Amino acid sequence: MPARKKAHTGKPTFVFKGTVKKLKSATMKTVAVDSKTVVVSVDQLIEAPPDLAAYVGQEITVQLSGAIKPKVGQQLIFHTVSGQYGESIEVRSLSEEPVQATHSAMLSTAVDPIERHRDRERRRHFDKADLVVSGKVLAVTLPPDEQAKSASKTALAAATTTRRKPVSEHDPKWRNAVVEVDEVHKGKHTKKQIIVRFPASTDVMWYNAPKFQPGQSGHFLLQKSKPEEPPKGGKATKKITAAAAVAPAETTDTYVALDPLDFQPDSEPGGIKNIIESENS
Amino acid sequence: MPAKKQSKKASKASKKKTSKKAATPKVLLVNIIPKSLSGETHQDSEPTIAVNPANLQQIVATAFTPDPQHGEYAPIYMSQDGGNTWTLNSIVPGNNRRTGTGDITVKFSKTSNVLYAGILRGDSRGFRLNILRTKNFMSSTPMEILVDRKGVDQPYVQVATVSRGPHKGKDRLYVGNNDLHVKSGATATIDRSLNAAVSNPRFKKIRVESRDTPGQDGPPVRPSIHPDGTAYAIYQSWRTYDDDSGEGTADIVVLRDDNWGSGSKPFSDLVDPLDGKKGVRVAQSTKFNFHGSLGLQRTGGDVALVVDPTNSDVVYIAYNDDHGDDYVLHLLRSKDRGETWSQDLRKIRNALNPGLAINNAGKLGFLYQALRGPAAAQRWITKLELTRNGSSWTTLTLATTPAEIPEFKFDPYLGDYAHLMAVGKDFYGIFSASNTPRKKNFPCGVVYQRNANWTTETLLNVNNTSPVKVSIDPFFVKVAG
Repeated sequence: MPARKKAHTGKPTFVFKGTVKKLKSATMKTVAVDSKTVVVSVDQLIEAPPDLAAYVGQEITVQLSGAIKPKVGQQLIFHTVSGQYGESIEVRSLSEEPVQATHSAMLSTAVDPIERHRDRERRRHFDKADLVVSGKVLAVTLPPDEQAKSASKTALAAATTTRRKPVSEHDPKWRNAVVEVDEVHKGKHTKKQIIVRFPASTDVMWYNAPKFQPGQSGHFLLQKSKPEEPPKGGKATKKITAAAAVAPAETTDTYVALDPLDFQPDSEPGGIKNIIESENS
Repeated sequence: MPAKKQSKKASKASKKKTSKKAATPKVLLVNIIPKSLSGETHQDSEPTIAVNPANLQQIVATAFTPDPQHGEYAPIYMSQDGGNTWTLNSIVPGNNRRTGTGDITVKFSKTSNVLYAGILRGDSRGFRLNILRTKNFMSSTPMEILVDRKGVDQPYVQVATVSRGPHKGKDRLYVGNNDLHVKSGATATIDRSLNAAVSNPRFKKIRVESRDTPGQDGPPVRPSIHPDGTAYAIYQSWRTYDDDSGEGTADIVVLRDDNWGSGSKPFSDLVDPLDGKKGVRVAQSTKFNFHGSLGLQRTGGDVALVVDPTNSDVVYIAYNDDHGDDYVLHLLRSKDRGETWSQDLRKIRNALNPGLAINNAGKLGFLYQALRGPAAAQRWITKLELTRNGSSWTTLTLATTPAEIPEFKFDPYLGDYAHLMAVGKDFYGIFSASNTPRKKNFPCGVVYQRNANWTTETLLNVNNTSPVKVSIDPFFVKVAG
């Protein structure tokens, strides 16, 4: 394939109000300094990931977008993404704007900047979700293909064949949560139950997915089931496929939950509940 | 996850032949989490390292470390002063906001400063392999994607640069991997490019397995390339596997190619004398358990191989197998290009994550992590052993850390591998361990970049006041050869 390069794009992930302290200067030796490089004191966090939550009052390096030429002492709101993290941090500003009266809501200290960051991520999840429902987990079961795998193992052992489906240390260990739907908040769904497929594995690729238990109730942000499983082996596939054919087919719509933000328990306030409320208002 | 029982009898071979020499080599050990991320508590496990042979001040490391801002690119750790200080630079495609990438390894070209990486993307659940490249790892430009396909496990990158002849200057790139797409079950694979530095390098998928498997090989496939064009590789060739128990047997197979793996039948220059097939079976029917664990670290198959840069006839390998409750690490040597093999030079109970390297004087470095102590107070002991002859050893204890602090977040707890390499006379390694700032935990000394109070043995946040929980961090080590 032809080599592909891609520029950093994306949306800001660290937003703060800061005061420009030095022009053409940096807080780190490893950073290249040019006319767009400035040292900024972080005055107030507006939106921050947990690892940067303690940066109020710290001086950091900002690579400006180039849209404006700030002066020393000027206070701006910076919308930034990652640069370097060493003795200090360097962020790359996608845009800067002077502080104005219209920013009062954004600058309200009533909102936790980490929670605001999480809300933005949750909002993205909501927007990407095929279906958002509230409901309760009735049962957790092995999916048909996992059952078929067990069946095929027996068949394979009996036939003393050496071909089987490959395994990996990253095996997701799929499980199905049977969820009784109370309300549909996004997407179309008419049946009373849905199947939510989730990985039970504690492997690095899967550990942070929701691990459902019977009795859990809350909001589910779901994608239509197209889990990217590792491919099946050739000869083994044929046998497993044959076994799968006799396994009970899933009669209910199946979705997947892979991210911790794909489930919010009823006991947790705000979050997805606020998004749903804002959608309905 | 229960820790394995420890038998009291230690390996006699290990005890007899190991000695501490009077002249202890100079050791630099650095916790590479930067000061600016003093508040982080991630499980930064499974580290790898690459030293730039063209500029020894430049070193890159990786681990399961997410981009601090949850952006779309995962970070590499980079040092521009020989490993004394470290910085994160987020340039690797496919960041997962809690773990960064999936499996990742890195390596530099010998002459051109180009950094290569083999990764499983963190934003995909399809075991999506990317082979990546950057001409400037210090810039903010993301690494470019050379190969992108799914269904692959444990990409392991090695690079050699041709030093003379008509192909002088070409980067030979080898990415060992377990390609679960392969229909025949011969999944052990090496993706190879004979000229990886050009704009659109061509890659060939070399299927190195020649024996029947139970549908696949084990995850680790590890090439090692000599500058004269001798290419070796080691892998775990599965013979049997039981899905229910996770138990299986595997042959430890060593392959060789005498011309860069470039011919029509690559990696076929070593033939097993018993079955006449490609690759010598150094150990046969070794036992493993893919569901096994040692402390909080999962087991299932570790292999490592290194060729002597001063003599391509000399090769060392390390591999693990199950002996009762013990997970045993073996070290062997061949002096005749892999044709015949020594008995165990070292045999270490309940140890894993072997890293092997040989310096320009033919001295071997052997890095590993061993679980020791009574059940309630087990510790991970990270050691580096050095030898010139395979019989007399200098042993350095780099770290001794509690085995169950911090708590387990995900598999792998320490990593399914650690790394060691040599450039010139010096050894450079990396391993992950619990990060409590306690001097006794690091007998050779240690430098922390992140804030810590060594009197109260407490990690501190960026304000240098608020306490921070203990977590798993990557530690860089440089040992003078």
